[in-house]
Amino acid sequence: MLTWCIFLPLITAAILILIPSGWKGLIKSVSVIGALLTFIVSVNLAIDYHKDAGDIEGTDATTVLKDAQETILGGVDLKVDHKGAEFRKVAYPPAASKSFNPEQYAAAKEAVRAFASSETAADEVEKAWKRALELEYALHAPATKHLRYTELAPWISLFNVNYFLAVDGLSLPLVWLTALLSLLCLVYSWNTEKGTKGYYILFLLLETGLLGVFCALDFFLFYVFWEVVLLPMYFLIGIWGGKNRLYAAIKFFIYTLVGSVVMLICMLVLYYTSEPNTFNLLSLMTVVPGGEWFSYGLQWWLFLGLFVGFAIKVPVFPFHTWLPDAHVEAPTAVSVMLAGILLKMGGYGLFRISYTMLPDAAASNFFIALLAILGMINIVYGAFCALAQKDFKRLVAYSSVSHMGYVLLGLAALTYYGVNGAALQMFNHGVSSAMMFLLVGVVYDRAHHRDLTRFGGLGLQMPWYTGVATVGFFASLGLPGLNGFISEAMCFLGAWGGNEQVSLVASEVGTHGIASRWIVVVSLLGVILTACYILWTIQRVFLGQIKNEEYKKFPDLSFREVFALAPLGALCVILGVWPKILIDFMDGTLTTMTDVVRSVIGN
Amino acid sequence: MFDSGLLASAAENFNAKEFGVMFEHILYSVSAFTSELVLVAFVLGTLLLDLVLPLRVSKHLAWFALLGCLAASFSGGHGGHSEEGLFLHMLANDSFAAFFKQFFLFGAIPVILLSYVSEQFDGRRMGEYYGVLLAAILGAILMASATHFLMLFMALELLSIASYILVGYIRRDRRGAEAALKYVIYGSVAAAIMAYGLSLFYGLTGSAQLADLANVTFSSDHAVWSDWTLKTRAALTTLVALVMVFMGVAYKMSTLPMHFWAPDVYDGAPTPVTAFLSVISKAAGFALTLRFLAALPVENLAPAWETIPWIEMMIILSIVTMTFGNLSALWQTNLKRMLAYSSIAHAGYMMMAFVILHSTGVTGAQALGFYLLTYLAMNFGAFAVVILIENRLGSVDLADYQGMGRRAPLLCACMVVFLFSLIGVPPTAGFAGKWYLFLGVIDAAQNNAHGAGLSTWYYVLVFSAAVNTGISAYYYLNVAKEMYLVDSEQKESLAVSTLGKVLVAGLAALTFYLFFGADGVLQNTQDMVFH
Repeated sequence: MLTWCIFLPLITAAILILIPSGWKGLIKSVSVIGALLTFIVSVNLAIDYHKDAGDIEGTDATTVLKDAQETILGGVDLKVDHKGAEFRKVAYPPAASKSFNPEQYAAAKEAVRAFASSETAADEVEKAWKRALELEYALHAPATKHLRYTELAPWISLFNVNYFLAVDGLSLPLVWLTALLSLLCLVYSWNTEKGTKGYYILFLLLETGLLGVFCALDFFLFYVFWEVVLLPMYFLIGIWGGKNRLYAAIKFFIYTLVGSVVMLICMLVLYYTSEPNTFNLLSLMTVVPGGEWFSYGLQWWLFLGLFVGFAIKVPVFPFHTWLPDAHVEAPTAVSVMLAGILLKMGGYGLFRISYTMLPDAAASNFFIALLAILGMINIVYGAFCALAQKDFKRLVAYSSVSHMGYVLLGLAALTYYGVNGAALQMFNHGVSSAMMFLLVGVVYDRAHHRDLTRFGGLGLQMPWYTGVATVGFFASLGLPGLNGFISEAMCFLGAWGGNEQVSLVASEVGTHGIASRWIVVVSLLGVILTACYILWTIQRVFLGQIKNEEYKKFPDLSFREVFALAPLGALCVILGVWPKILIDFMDGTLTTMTDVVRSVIGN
Repeated sequence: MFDSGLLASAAENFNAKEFGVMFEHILYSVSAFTSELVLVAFVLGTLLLDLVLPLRVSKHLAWFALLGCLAASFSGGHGGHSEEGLFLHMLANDSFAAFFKQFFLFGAIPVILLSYVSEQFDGRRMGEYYGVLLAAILGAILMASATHFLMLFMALELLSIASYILVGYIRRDRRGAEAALKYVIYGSVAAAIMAYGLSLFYGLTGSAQLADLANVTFSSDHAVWSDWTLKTRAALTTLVALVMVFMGVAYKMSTLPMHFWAPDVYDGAPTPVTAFLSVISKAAGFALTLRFLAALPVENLAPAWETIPWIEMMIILSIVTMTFGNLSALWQTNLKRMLAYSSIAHAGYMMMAFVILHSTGVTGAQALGFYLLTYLAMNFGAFAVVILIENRLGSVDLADYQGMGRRAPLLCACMVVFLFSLIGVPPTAGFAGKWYLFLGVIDAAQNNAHGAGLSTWYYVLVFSAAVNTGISAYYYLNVAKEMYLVDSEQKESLAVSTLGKVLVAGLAALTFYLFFGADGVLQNTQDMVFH
């Protein structure tokens, strides 16, 4: 099912290649149908996913991992039945400790080798056992119980690289959002006339890459999809972008590439430090809490390296400078994907990889402080920058910088509220920033400029547009009743900390925690600043007298634009008044994750 | 089985039994040498056929040469599994040699096809060209399997001299002639330095066998040096010899400090020859160097070697080479020069394989072998596109590539694949190759393959390679930018021969295959060893 979801866009792109580039209508229709099918599959995923309710649709990870173990061990000659107690006793770590320590590991290796039917088979048996053991670790991983639609197939057996996909409460909403935004953007791009075929092919390729990133549970696979996103994005900005597109495209590419190559190094270090060597994200999660193999020093460096990779994508101050350039130059639909989904890749990486695999580093005071302070800077500095912009799109771009700061702040606190809020904020920002970029696109298509000082009075001319825009802008502002409020409030509440659970930003738990509540207070300033620039923008664009006679000729929203905007507007309202539908998805997964990380600080 | 002691005495006092042993050994050697013999037959055949064929058919000798490569490849003898050397330990018959034999024969095919589709050679007799090209391939094969100083030097010269001819093949072309002359002069100097280094080693070890390199010995009766310790003297001489030999092979690999010829020669040579130099000739240099370095002792057991930090030297050279190549490539506006500097940068990446030669996990031979395969696919691909566009435009200037994406859609789409592969972005071969190298170096760093002190060096090396990847993205993408992102008035599409299209598409497919099918390919390079 996930394979279909990921590769449907790619298949559609392959079909597009066969269509002559002159048949633009057909090209557009085919790609929209492809995106629609992908969306339907993703909705299906969401409907069938039940949170720990017992009646799980789709295959869950435990079954798939056990099957894979069967296959691996069934392929070698063992003296005893590999399912039998005798084998399990020596081959797998005792249930209480989640991993072997090095001495036990060496002993287990010898014992397993002795089970081989012949001397010559011992190496083969050892290899199979290592792979099975690695899957056993994956089975022990706390995150495993939330995974659904698991698919596992060997890929590069030499390095234990698997084609391993699954979704949980963290990734599923993002998968769904990706499919939704892609569909909306493809429809919104209907009037693309320049190189239509190339545009749609690249867009669908981008969608495949993004979906893959959120579904992959093998670090190698994750990295591959992560990089696959780069190519279409480079061309989408570079070919269909604005005047300064060449600069923006290359800047985007090089920033991200440097970040991801650093990530690659960390990935390889992780691979070689784990024993048995593995790229399996689940196994890597389990090995850590045992604490035997990943020393704190190593975790610290890995966290730093991975953080650079992810921070560039988020983007975290001071790595954010590519973002305004890329956003301003990119065509509207591409900006939407960039803000809506690409930025989430960084956040998702922090959740999925940094926090769960390197909990000792994540709970260390240095990184709590780093994330919280960078989050604060993002929030406040991003808001100040947005306040200073005259370019409408640049303003929205800086608002993204500001909003992604909440994610860092929520994460740093390591409370249920904070972490849930951070994940929710990622989704909400995906909705509201996508909407804002679409809104900017709508007005830019008519006015052909984005200079805020030259707008005014559009409210009179385009009442529908103004209405929808207000919803989007207020959602971004964090008005109660709209989605932004919920997640921002949760991030702040989480960071402030409550009685049941102490925030590591605001208080201390033993040696952990930085007890700097002022960070939260300063961050709260961001909310006021956000209100300032949003309200001021609304005032400058929609209110007052029409500044230019030309604006009187502007038509209101077309069907295409309504189609793209209405679902997002509806989501803003629905998630604003009833966030439970989404939180229910995320809660189980994120609570488990928080527990894992907090287990290292002893509460 | 064959016994070398017996052979030595056989040469001095003839007797029937020993003669029998010798004879058997030679028979055995010849039987393991069939591919090379087939290749020699085709070299001569191509030259002779050219004499009898009319001029207009001469171009099609390419197919004959191609047949030669295939025939040589399939008549591979029973090599690759024997620890026994060939021809009294002149050549190795190990899996490393077998891999590179197939690599060069396979790599010759794109070179021949590139020469065939290139219009630079129009109106010339091509028999000599293909004959010399096959001879160069033979030289490359021998370089990868030579285990004796003499053989090694002769193989190197066979490849070099053949390359000089190829570079200057278009006789009246001034730039080609200049390039050939530069190549000859620099090449002779490099070869002379290397020969001197080899002679020093011969003096130090009393043997011209690579296997004896570890046995550097010194007698203590040199009165002049008496105030120095014996060890220092030995180390110093060994170091000088090593540096000299390395200068010779660095010339072939186009790594620092012997890289300076590359841009001029690459630029002046006919483009198919440039492609040949950047892949085959470089690969031969790397194969030779790897075999040479593999013979050096690592465990610091041998006297004289223990004070020579050759791994650290290689790490520094590797970093300097890749950084120099990438930084210089940033400023190029001529595509051939850019690819020349890019090939220097890639030589820097490939040098990473030297420092993990004796690893227990991914060894240098495996990583290098696989990297060269990926480099073959992507670099030949890039050159194929350059040649096909040069055929029409007569130019290799980047500025002339503006808007090419619309004029030659297939070529440019494939070029993007090659460029991304050269950067090292998945899902392309270049990523798989780089990944494998990084994997090996990090493995060595984690497992302290060559002593604990080296870990930091290894991390520095990987980190530099990572940063370099970022730098290289700029100039590779610059090509993509000109092709797609910049609009141009020129709109008419470029006529490209079907063979050219098939070649480019095939190389692009190979570039993808080496990523997605990496598993199978890696399994094949797994058991690559030296004997």
